[in-house]
Amino acid sequence: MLARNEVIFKWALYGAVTALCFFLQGAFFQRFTLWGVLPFVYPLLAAIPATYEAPVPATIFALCVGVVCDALLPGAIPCFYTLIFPVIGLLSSLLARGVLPAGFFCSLAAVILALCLTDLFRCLLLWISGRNVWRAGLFLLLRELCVTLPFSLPVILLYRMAARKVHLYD
Amino acid sequence: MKNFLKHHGLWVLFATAVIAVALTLMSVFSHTSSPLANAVNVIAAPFRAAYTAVADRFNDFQKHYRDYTGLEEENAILRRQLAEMEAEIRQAREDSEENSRLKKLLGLQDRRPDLTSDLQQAMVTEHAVTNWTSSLTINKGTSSGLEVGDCVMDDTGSLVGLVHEVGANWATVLTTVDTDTSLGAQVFRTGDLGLAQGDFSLMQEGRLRLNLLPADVSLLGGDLVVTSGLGGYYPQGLVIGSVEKVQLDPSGSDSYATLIPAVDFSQLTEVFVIRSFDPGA
Repeated sequence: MLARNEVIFKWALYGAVTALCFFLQGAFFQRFTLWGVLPFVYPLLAAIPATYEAPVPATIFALCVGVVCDALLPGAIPCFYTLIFPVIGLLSSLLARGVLPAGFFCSLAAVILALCLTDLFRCLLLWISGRNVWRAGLFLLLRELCVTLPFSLPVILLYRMAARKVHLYD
Repeated sequence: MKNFLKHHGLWVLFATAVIAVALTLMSVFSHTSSPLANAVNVIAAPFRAAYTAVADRFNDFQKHYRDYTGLEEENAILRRQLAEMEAEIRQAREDSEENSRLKKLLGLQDRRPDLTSDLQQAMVTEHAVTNWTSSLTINKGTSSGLEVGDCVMDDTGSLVGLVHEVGANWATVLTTVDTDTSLGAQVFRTGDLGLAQGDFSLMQEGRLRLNLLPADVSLLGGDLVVTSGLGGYYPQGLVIGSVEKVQLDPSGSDSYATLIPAVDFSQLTEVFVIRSFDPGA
């Protein structure tokens, strides 16, 4: 019974942090551009919490974030984020389990992975639909990465605080 | 004292009488004042100045206090009036902007009765949300009769984009520069037909392409490009933008032009959705 309560508390806390990040993106980050691009933190919301969790729950959480993003954002295809975010969640979780221990640097690596995967998937979809966008797309990815990385710091810290709270006795 | 008056009373009386007569005579014959009065007043003048200064100071202080409290009240009243006037000015500015928009719309209504018979005004609630699409979110949806594919224009009759997704009280509009936008277009001056399409590389620069132009097309920079209306899907004559440059396609069989959109999407606050139009007009 206690374990179930803990599980509920953990995902509610992750959900609250994610909702706060959605608010931050909508209210602040998408109101200005730097180097011609908006800071884009949505992929981070699938990647960073996943580094603190096991692959299966991380993938499911990322899937939920993807569904919400698809509902809110226009995409190349209607299920764009629903497809790519679980992959990001899974890979981020595996990254934390096999390569880098969960923490700040692991989250930073997951952020880079998430932005690269999201944008490469977009390029792939545009390429499949007959548009050769690799060059412009990779340049956009580079700019998006440079602009979003500084803004990922508060997001990383927020999830880190939430993870410390929920993994207090681990 | 009694003895003094008994012995010297007469002398005192006499001296008093002499002084009184002397003072009277001096005041009669003097052109200014009597020497005694003058002497007394000369001595009294500094004292008089001193106590007048003190009294003035006290009066000033009293007046200052009275004025200060009065000024505070006046200041509060003026501040309130200023705030009210500022609010009125703001309202007047908003009214003026609205008036100018409505005037433009009225002009558009005169020019294009086919478009303006079934317009829905909407406010832009959100601009671009990702770096990979060029979209707007507006505050009207199916409850206002909007449908996917409806044309969206600004108050000058320039094309903003097409409704991409629509909900009960919201709709997403893909602008003319978005990669998913594609519409039949016509060069206003020459009548050349083409396909106005968003291009990913150009979208970053806020431009779009006019594809499928004849290889020998002779367009000039600034040539106006409007919707062709062919097929009846979209109204004819909505301004898409103007020609920036013309280039030959790598295949050599046709040309394409880079267009500058007529609308500055980042500055849009209000748009009009064409819910229906008369294709024959």
